[in-house]
Amino acid sequence: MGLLGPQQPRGEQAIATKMSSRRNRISDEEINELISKLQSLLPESRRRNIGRASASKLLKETCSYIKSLHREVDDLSDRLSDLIATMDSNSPQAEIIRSLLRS
Amino acid sequence: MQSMPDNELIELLWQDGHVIMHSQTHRKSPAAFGEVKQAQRAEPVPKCGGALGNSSDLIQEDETASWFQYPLDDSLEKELCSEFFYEMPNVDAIGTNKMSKDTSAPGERSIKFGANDETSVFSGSDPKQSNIRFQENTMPPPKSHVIASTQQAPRLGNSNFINFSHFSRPVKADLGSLNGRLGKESGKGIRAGAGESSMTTIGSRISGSNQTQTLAHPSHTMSSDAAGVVSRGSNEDAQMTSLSERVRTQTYETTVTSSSGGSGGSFGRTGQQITSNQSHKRKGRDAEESECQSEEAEYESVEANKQAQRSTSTRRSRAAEVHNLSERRRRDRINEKMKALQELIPHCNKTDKASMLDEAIEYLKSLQLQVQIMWMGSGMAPMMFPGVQQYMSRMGMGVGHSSMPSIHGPVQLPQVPFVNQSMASASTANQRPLCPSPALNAVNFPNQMQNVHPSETYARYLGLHPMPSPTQAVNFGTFGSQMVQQNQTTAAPSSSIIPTALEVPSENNQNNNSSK
Repeated sequence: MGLLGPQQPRGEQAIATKMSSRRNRISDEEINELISKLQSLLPESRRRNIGRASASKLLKETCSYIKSLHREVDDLSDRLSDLIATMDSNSPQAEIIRSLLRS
Repeated sequence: MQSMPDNELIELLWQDGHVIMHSQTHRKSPAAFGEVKQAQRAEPVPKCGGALGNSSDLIQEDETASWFQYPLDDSLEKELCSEFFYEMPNVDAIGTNKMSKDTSAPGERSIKFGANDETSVFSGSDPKQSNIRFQENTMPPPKSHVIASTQQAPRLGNSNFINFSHFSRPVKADLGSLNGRLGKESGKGIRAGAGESSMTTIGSRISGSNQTQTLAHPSHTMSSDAAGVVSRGSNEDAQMTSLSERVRTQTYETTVTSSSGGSGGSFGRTGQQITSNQSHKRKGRDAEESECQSEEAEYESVEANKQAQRSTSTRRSRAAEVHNLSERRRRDRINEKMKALQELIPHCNKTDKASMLDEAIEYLKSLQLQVQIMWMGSGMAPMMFPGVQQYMSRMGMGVGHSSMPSIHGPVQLPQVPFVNQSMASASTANQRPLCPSPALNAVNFPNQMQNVHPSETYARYLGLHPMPSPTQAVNFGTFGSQMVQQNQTTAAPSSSIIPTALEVPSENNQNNNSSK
């Protein structure tokens, strides 16, 4: 399904897209809402009060943010595994850390 | 003998510019001549069987009269003169055409040949002799030119050279005639043809010079297809074709403009229409392979003309096309990013955008939470659990110490709100104060943490284990004696908690206390 732009498509596609857009009108709003939610999650747009950025930019930033979070998780996992190595493996802390690592 | 009259005839014709008057005057009494001519014509037939002497006499008579009568002959005269008079540029063609239609001796043909050069001599003489040919006069000369010349091809072997000479001009006419014959009068047909040629001239739409090029091209094809054209058009009367051509070309022009206007009106459709027309026309072309070459040739030349007319609409349609292209590119970019996002999200089997975005949001939140917890875990693990004391002593105070200052900085920022919420949640969840909050405060968690949820889940996490441990850890990690005391009061089992917590800056305690 294609992301419909704000403007209505013209021409012969208009009819078909209008019909589908009637079905998709709600999802259009949903999509916009979701995008703004996403924007709120992103660190960048939180700090400064940036207006609504373009969808593609947002998506790109989301992708990069997720990647950075992944890296962070990996980092922390390493640290935790190091930690757990130093602990008594029977200790509850080790248990916790292990569960963290598992997640 | 016959040659003589021919010469005389030619001379006469040549002088016809002046002699025309004579012929006209002669024509005034055409009946006699015509009758004589006809009689003469009729006679030779029966007389053929007759004695030579008779025939010769007759012939002589004919000849004597022929130089006189040939040009003056009504049937011939009218046709000839009318041709010459009313179709100045066409004279040679049509005149010759007419002549060819008559059962004329070669002499006549030679006359016609001569007459070809004399066309200019005949300045509109007698308009009275208007017939159907008169209409031909109004026709664009080249067309009738072509038709006549091409029609002559099969009939007059001698006139081949005429045909060749005319070819440069008749090209257009032939194209027009072909247009007419093919009967493609619809605007779509034109545009289709335009599309067909536009395929070849697509790079040079705007430049008018290409029109000449395309015209030049067809000439070659035309000459090669002349025979074909002739064969196709031989049945048609020159007049009729020329007439119909003219009408049809006019129709073409009007339809072109209307269709171009229509195309200008609907931006979104134009490109599609053109392409659809092209595709339609392509299919049609496959069907008419035999005529393809000439058709393409004519379409190219016709299209070149029409493209000039449609330049504005083409610009507009191009703008629309550009818009569509950019829109499509934008959508493609977004879809591409969505796909990348989908790949990042684990176990994402959703395909539509909304659910994908939903999943992305949820995943992002969970990722953030996980990171926070891990931070806490990595920072607090040694301090959270009962064995922490020994651990600490083993690790040395330095650990906590070293971590403290580092923790402090970032901790302070989100500290307050976090503490509030976390405390509230912790109290509701476990009714044990402070379990997560100090830990969270102590931990150098990323500043991204905003949600309350991480603390809740962390509390739940920690809830797995006896509270004292986190409490201890918490106390140990961040809180001063006050906290420890509080914890001790609230958490009974934590009495064994080692109050040997590291000295925590009073502000932390104060903050915690105040938030409490």
